Amino acid sequence: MPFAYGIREKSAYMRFIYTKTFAVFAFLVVLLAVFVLMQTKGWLNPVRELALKMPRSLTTTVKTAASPVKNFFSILYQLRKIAQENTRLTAQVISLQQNLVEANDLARENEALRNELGFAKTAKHSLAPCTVLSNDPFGSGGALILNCGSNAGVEIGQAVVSQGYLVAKIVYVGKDSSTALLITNSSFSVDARISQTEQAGIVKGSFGSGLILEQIPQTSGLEKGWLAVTAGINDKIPKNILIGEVKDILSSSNDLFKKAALVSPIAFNNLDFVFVMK
Amino acid sequence: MRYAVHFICIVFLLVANLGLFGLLPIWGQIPNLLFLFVLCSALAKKEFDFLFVAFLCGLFLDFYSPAFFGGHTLALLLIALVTYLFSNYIFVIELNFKNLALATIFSWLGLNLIVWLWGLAALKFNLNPSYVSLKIFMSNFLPGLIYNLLLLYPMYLFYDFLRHSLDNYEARSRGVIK
Repeated sequence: MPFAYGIREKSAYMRFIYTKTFAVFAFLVVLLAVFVLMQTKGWLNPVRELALKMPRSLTTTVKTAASPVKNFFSILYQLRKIAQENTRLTAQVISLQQNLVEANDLARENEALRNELGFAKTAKHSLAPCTVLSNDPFGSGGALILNCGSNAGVEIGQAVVSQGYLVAKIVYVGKDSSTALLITNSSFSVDARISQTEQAGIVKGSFGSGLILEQIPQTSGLEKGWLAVTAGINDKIPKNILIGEVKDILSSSNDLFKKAALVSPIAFNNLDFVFVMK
Repeated sequence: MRYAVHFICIVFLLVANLGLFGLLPIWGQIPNLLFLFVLCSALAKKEFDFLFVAFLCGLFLDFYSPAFFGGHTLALLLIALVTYLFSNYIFVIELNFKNLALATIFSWLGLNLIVWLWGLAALKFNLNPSYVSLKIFMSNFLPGLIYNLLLLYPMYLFYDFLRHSLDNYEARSRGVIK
């Protein structure tokens, strides 16, 4: 009697939908639908902010308590690398000091010439200081949740900087919080140019912590150590914000465009404070 | 009482996830303790508890995610229900590490896929401006899975301890045991 057996078995499974467990499940799904609707209207933002802020003090305490242990093992692991980096940085400091002297001379000369020609100084962008509430701990999004929103004048598309480097751009703005997409996120892209040659290109996020500079013509020069900065084509992201340094040339001479890996000195996983450029 | 204790545990796990494991990434990934907590609660064969845990954990994950709201909650509710059904009705499984690991692998895959599909649906309906391709989205799958598997058994022990403590407390308060 395979057929009858099949029916009996099926009805046993079907009985599940009459259980309290299924009723609770259905209720929670309906409740979720209501929450989603509320979120689209922005009515859930206070709850979201509370959920983000509630464990923050505890998290900071745990982080502070655990970081010396982490730092100790991390330093042991990276001791050789740190020594090499120290040598390289010492040489770089000497070179930069020389550049600074030249730059100061040029700045003085520039200032004098501007005064002669009557140019007004370019207005600096105002910065909104923001605390990073979370750096997307669970997802693959590569995003920051910031504690400043439309009340602080933050708008979608604005640049987020840390230590003078571009780190993210705003993709969602709530009343008192906002979400910024990290430049290392694979869906991030920004117009850029090479500081040394003024050649325009595009910087895209690459999975992990990488940055890729693309669309550089084969005829244009590109060398390791050169700097990529924002091009200022997008009016919400000002010109000349540092993005990163060319670490490696990824393309060959047969490719249509040159492509390079960029490296940023910013530790994207450990950002605590950032500035939004308004 | 039961739900209050579960809520406190979820906040505790969230703090551990963000504070402690945030400092210890493996291949750039940190574990998802809330997901493991939901899975262990669904395998505990206790009515309702797992759905409450799944809903609350999902809400927290959604609040902390830049993706469109609701994906994690829906995914965890579905995963918890399917795991509960499998362990109670379809295959009455013996809980050993092999079965736990299998449940984790399928559930982790399910979570990632549902969240990705939810994000795609949100994009299609113009509710979310960003989109991550499936290939890139799933590139997090393996490191995340390995990290979760490493913490699976400690989490199972933690949940087992919590469940027994709550059962004992309730039995005592009802006067079943002294």
